[in-house]
Amino acid sequence: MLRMLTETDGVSGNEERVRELIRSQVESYCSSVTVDSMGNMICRKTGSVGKKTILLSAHMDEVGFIIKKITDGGYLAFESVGGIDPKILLSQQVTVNGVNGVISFKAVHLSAKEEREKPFKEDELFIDIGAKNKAEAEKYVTVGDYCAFKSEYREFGENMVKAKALDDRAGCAILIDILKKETKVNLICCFTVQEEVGLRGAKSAMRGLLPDFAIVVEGTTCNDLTGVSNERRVTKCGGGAAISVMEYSSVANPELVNMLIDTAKENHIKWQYKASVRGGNDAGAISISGGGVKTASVSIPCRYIHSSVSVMNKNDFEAVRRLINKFIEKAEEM
Amino acid sequence: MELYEVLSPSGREAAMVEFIKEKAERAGFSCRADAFGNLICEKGGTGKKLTIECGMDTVCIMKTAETKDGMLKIGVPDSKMAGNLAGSKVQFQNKTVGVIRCGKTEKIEDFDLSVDIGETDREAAAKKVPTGEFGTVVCDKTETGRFIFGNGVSTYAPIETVLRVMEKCENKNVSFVFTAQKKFAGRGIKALLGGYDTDYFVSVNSAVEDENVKCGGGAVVIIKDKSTVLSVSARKCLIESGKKVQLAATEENLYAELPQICGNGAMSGCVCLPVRDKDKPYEGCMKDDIESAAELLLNFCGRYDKIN
Repeated sequence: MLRMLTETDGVSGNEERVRELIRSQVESYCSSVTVDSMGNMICRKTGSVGKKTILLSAHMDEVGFIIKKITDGGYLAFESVGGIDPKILLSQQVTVNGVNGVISFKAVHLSAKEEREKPFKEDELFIDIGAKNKAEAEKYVTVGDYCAFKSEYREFGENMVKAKALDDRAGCAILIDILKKETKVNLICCFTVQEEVGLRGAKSAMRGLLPDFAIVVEGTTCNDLTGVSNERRVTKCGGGAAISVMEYSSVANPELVNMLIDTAKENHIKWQYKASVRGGNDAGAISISGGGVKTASVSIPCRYIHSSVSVMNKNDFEAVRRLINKFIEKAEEM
Repeated sequence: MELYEVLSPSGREAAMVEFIKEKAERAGFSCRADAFGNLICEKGGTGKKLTIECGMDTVCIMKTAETKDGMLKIGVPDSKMAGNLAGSKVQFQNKTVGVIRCGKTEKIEDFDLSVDIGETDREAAAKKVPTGEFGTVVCDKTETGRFIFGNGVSTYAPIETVLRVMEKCENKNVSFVFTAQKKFAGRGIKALLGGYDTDYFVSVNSAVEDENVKCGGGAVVIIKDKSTVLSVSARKCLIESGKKVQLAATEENLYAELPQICGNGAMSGCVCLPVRDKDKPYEGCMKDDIESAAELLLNFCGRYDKIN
C-alpha cells in the first residue's frame, strides 16, 4: 500500500489520483465517503458502540513543482509548490504528465569556480524533458501543469524505506489500515489537500465536523545525522512514534498527549517526543475550527523530508500504526 | 496568589483560568471553558450582546534538549520573541526555575537560547526538567512610583483592567471572554469565533509606547491594526466613553477585527494599555492607564447598544 501511495503523484492542488487510489481502498468499509469543493475526502465509519466521534487526519498532497513557462528551447521553467530547499533540486529526476524529465544544471567542467561557489536560485534551473523546442514540449506540457519528483519506493538496510512523499502518504496508509477494521467509536477520517501550502484543505474540511477530538497522523523531520548535536535533533529515526507537544502551528491538547503516552507505555509501543517546535501541520487548522477541537499529532520520523529520497524506519511506521489503533480502542471508554 | 504571580504560558493557561473563574463567579458570572481552553463568563442577558475580550497567556517555552554542561535548550513558537527572552527568569510547570542565556546579540533564534537551571551535567538537567515540559517568564512584579514593571505585564495589565470592569459591570448583556494562546497568533480568538456569536466586540490589549502612544496618556483606542481597520462607530463610542484617551494605529496584529467577518458579523473595537518596553524582560505600565481603561470600558458597557 505504501509503495502504491508514494509512487502516485499528488502535488498540492493536484491530489486527484491519490484521492481516487485511497477511495478505491476504503469505500467499501465506510458508511459514507464525500469529497468537498477543495478536494478533501471525508470518510465516515459508524462505530459498534458509537458514543464518541474521533477525527483522524492525514494529508494527501506532497511538495513538488508547477510549470510557469516553456522556453523557446523546449525547457520548462518552474516554481516550487510547498517548502523545498533549492540545494536538493540539482539533477533531480521529475515527472510531468507522465513524461520523465530532469532538473538541469551546467556540468562541472563548464562552470567557473565562482559559479560553483555561489548559492544559486530556483529560477536559474530548468526541467529538461528532451524536447527539441517549444512546439515539441507543448505537445506534452502546458503552463500550469504540475510536476512531481520521480522516485521509486525502495527498501534497504535494516527495516529502512526510501521513497518520495512519505510525508504524508505514510499517514494516509495508516488511516486506510484503520478504516478497514471494525471500530467501537465513530470515525471520521479526513484525507486533506494542500497541507504543504498553508494547511488550506483542513481549514475548509472541518466545516460542519464536530468530533470529540482529533489526531493528526503525519510525517515529521529527524535531523539525527552524525555530526548533528543532540540539542538540534527533532526526532530519531528508529526512536518510535513521535508525539508532538507544541509546534509553530499549534499546541497539542495536554490531555490527549498524556493519553497517547499512556497508551504507548501500556502496550509497550516505542515512542519519543518531537523535540522541537519547528514546523506545523493540519492540527493548526483543525484545533481552531468550529469553536475549538481538542487535537494532538503523532508522526512517523522521516529523514530528508521534502525531498525525493525521504527515509523512514518501518518499525516507526508500525509503532504509529499500533499506537493509533490502540488509542482508538481505548477512546470509547474515555 | 496575586494575578501577576499566576503562570500562564500559551497552551497551558489552566492556572489562569482557575484564578479568573474564581473572581468572575464571585462577581455573579457563570463561567465555562470551551474545547480550546477559552474562558467565557456570562450573566445570561437576552439583549444586544457586547463581548469584551482579553488574552490570558504569556510567551511559552518548551524544553527540547539538554547540553553536556547541564543547560536546557528550548523551543519558542514565535521566533520573533526569541530575541527578547535573553536575560528572562523563567519557571517550568514542574516549578524548576532558570534564567535564559544567549551568546548572541542579534538575529537570535530559539536555537541560540539556553536555560541555566543550575545543573552542570546533561543527566542531572534531563532529570530535573523532562523534554516537552512547558515554561514561561516569571513576572517578578515591581511597583515603583506610578508604574508596574515586570515580565509579562503586557498580558497581566489588560487582565487586571478587565477584572476591574467585571466587578462593577451591571449590564447582563455584557460577556467577558479570556482567550487562550493569544500570543500564539491569536489562536484562541480564531477558535472562539467558530462557535460564538456577539453583536459588539471589544478586544483589550497592550500597545507599545512610541511617539504616538504615551504611558500616562490614558487608554489607547486603536483605529487600525496590522490586518485591517476597525469599526468607526465603535471607535467613536469608545472615545466618548473615556476621560483620558489616545488614538493610534498599530503595526501589531491584535486580532480585534476578526469578529467583523465571522458569524453574522460584529461591530468591533480595540482598547489598549500603553506599555513601555513591550515584550522585553521588564515591561512597564502605569496604574493610571489601567484605571482610565477600566473606566472607559465600564462606561462603554452602558452605552454601546445605542451605536448605530
